[in-house]
Amino acid sequence: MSIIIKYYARYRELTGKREEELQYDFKNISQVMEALEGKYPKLSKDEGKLVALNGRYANRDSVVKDGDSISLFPPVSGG
Amino acid sequence: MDLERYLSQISIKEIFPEGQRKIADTTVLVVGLGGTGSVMSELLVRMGIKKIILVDDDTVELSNLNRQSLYSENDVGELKVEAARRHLISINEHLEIEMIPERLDIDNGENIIKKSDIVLDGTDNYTSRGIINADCIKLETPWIFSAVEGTSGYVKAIIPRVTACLSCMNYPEEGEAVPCTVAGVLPSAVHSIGALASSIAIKTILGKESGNLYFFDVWKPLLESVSIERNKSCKTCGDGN
Repeated sequence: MSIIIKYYARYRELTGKREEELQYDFKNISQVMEALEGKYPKLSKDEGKLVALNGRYANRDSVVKDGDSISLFPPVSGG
Repeated sequence: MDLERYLSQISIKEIFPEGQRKIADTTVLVVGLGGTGSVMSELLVRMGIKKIILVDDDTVELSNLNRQSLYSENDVGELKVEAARRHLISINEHLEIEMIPERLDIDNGENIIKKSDIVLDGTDNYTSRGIINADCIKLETPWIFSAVEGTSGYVKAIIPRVTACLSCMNYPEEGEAVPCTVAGVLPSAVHSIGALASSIAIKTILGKESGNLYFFDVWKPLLESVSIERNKSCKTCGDGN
C-alpha cells in the first residue's frame, strides 16, 4: 500500500520535506508513527503531536488504508 | 446599540441582525496579554463587547513591542493589565474593564473563569491551557485555544461537551513555554493567529462555530482545517466526568 505523509511547521525543517510517500502495509497510525520516528528520531521527542488522517483527527488505533493522506502537526505553546 | 460605530460590521450577513446585541452582551475573559492576547482584546473591544476581564501578572518589556499591539514605549516597566486598560479605554470610554494582575493557576482559575461568558487563550504555556481547559469544561464555559510559534499557529473553539477539548486531542497539559525571544515568532503570525482567534470567538458567541482545529502558516501561506471528534471517554470532558 502507498500513503502520503504531509509535514507542517517545524516538522518540515526537522524532516527536510513538505511531504513524502511511504510504501508499506501499515495497519494503523501507531505503526506509521513508529516508522516515522525510526526514520526521524527527533520526532519521537515531541509529545502531543497532532496527527490527521484525511483531514480528520486520528488516534494511534486509527486504521490506515491504501491512498490515505496523513498530516503531522507539532505541538505549539507560544502566545 | 451604537449603530453608527458598528455600521460596517452589522451589515454583513454573518452578524446581521441579532449578532451585534449578542456580542455586546458577552463578558470576555482574556488570559495572557502577550501577542495574541493583545490582538484579541483590541479586536473584541473594537467589535463591541461591553465588558472585558484581563488577566496577566507580567510587566511590559522592550522585547514585547514588536508584536504586542496594546503597548508602546511609554508602557515599558508597567503592569500589562494597566497599560492594556489605558489602551482599550482610549478605543471605547464606556468599556467596563476588570484587571486581575495575577497568573491564572489551579487555585484561582475557577473563580476567575466563572465571571465570564467566554475565555480567550493568550497564554504561552501548556500548564495554563491545561487549567483553562479543565476549569472551562467544569463550568461549561466555551474557550478559544490559540498558540503560535515561528510563522504558524493553531486556533480552536472548545465548547464543553459539544466539541473536542484539549485532552481529546492529547495536547500536552503541563510544561512551561520556551520564550518567544528564544523560540522565535513572526509578529505577523502573532497578529494573524490573534485575528483568526477573534473571528472564531465571534462565531462561537453567535453559535456558528464547528470546533475544527485551524492551522495557519502566514509564510507559505497555508490554512488547514482538521475535524476533531469529541472523545466521549476523555478524562476531562468525557460523559462519565
